[in-house]
Amino acid sequence: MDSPTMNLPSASLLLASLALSACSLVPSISFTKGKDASVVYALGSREGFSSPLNGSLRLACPAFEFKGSQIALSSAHESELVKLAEEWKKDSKARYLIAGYTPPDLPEDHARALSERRTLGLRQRLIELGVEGANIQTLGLGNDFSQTSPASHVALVYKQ
Amino acid sequence: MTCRVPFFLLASLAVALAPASLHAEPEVKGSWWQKIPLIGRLIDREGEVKKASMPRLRLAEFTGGTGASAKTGLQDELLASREFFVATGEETADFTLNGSSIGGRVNGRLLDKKGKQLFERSYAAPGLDENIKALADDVIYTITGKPGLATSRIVFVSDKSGRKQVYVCDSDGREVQQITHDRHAAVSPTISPDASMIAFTSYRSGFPDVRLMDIHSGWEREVSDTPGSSAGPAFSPDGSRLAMVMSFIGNPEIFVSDLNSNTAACISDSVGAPGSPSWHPDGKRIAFSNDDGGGSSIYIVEVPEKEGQATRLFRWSTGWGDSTDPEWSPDGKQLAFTARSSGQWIIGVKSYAGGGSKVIQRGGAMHPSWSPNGRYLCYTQHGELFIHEIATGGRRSILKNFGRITEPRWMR
Repeated sequence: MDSPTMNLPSASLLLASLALSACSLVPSISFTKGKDASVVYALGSREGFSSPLNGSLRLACPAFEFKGSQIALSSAHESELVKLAEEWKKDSKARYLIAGYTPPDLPEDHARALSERRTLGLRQRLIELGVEGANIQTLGLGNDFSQTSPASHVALVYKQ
Repeated sequence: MTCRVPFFLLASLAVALAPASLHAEPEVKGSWWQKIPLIGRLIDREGEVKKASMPRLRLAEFTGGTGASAKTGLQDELLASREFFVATGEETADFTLNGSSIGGRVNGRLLDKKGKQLFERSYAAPGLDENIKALADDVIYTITGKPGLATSRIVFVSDKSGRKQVYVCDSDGREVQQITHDRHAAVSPTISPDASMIAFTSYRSGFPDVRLMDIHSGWEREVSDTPGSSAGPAFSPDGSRLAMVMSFIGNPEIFVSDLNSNTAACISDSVGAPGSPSWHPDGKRIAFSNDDGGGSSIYIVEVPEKEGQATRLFRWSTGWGDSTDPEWSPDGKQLAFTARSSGQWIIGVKSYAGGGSKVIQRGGAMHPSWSPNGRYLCYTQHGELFIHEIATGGRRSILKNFGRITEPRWMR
């Protein structure tokens, strides 16, 4: 079977140094069906963000629950994200860390990827709703800490 | 401040669906694999006896104070390899192994049928067992061209200490050593082809980063220090590159990092959750899993040899749902994977690029990894580490009651 040829768009960008940790925004995909579905916002520096592994953190909003392999955002997610974005506009110095978790029965590597993907989807939507991208960091923990962390398909937003 | 560049969706560009035929799932006749060699024959899954053209190796005299022990140990190792008919008497053979052993040091000499010396080597590691294993692997490699397993290692994760950490053991589940002592957890280990380095995902900073450790010296360095997550490293066949997932661009993608130049290139173009990269032995292709929200599938992408080179991406159907953890066999002709069948995780193997597939183990088995000779798979099931012989379906638990064991990977 012939397969389509893909000229990887990132090919010219791809040999990027790993020092890209300080990069601003490079292209990728939007999860949402919004206006800018072809734009994704790169992550800013992790500096100053605290991991939930290093101490208890305050939740910024109720947990975002997902079902099975779901990665798309639901209307329930949307209403909570809108509230969070409105809150941020009142305090634009606020920073959020979104951490994703999965149940312990998933293959570990898949669990990490799935949880990270969900957190990036939530971050993407928050940016589209007006939150500054540099103020949101993500963390996919999968089921690596399921003995001490949530053991379900959930993403938590911690206020930093 | 904001840079916006159009992006292309993987799905609309490059996904070619491989024939998604469902294959019959043969019942595994899981007779408990005893470590008893099947001399001169192999029994297939249906119980038929196959005549195998295995070479005959005569284990001749080993002189010296520890010669008798060396000979006995060698006999065990060579029989366990199931690569030869091993004779200890005076009958004719295709190869003859003799030598000496004094104080645990071993000297071995391999001769062919005509008496021509194929090699003579000395082994001077501190322990007799270690020297015997090294000699056995050299004999196996010289005669079969395939690596032996006596000196091979399996890395895995266990939560025995209360936190997930990386451990290593031999192919019998012995000589277990804890490799990492990270503050939070260390997961998804992979071992370099020369067995000198381990790459793994560390939560030391509170965020997942990929680190590299020299097994012998304990020296470590960070491979990725990018925002978001970096996880799931896999060494290229030559050991010079690592494939891994990084999400600093705002999207999780498979990157290939050159360990010499410390640069990285993105090779996937995903709308989902890519993970579990595995290199083809030719170093030109990578299999990985990707979940776009409808369950995980396996994709194969060509690795560009230079910047800007067009590459192709295939979706590769296993015939089962939620397929993940792909790993190529050492000859590149098959892929092993984890998938879901009737609500349970299973281990499957399918020929690449086409051909049939079969279930290797049901009942919650995960994370298959091939032995260097391609004859066995190791995997975990309910926290226990198993080795499974593909040809016979026989398997045995090599490590249990060692916390919950996950993510084993056999040295390639």
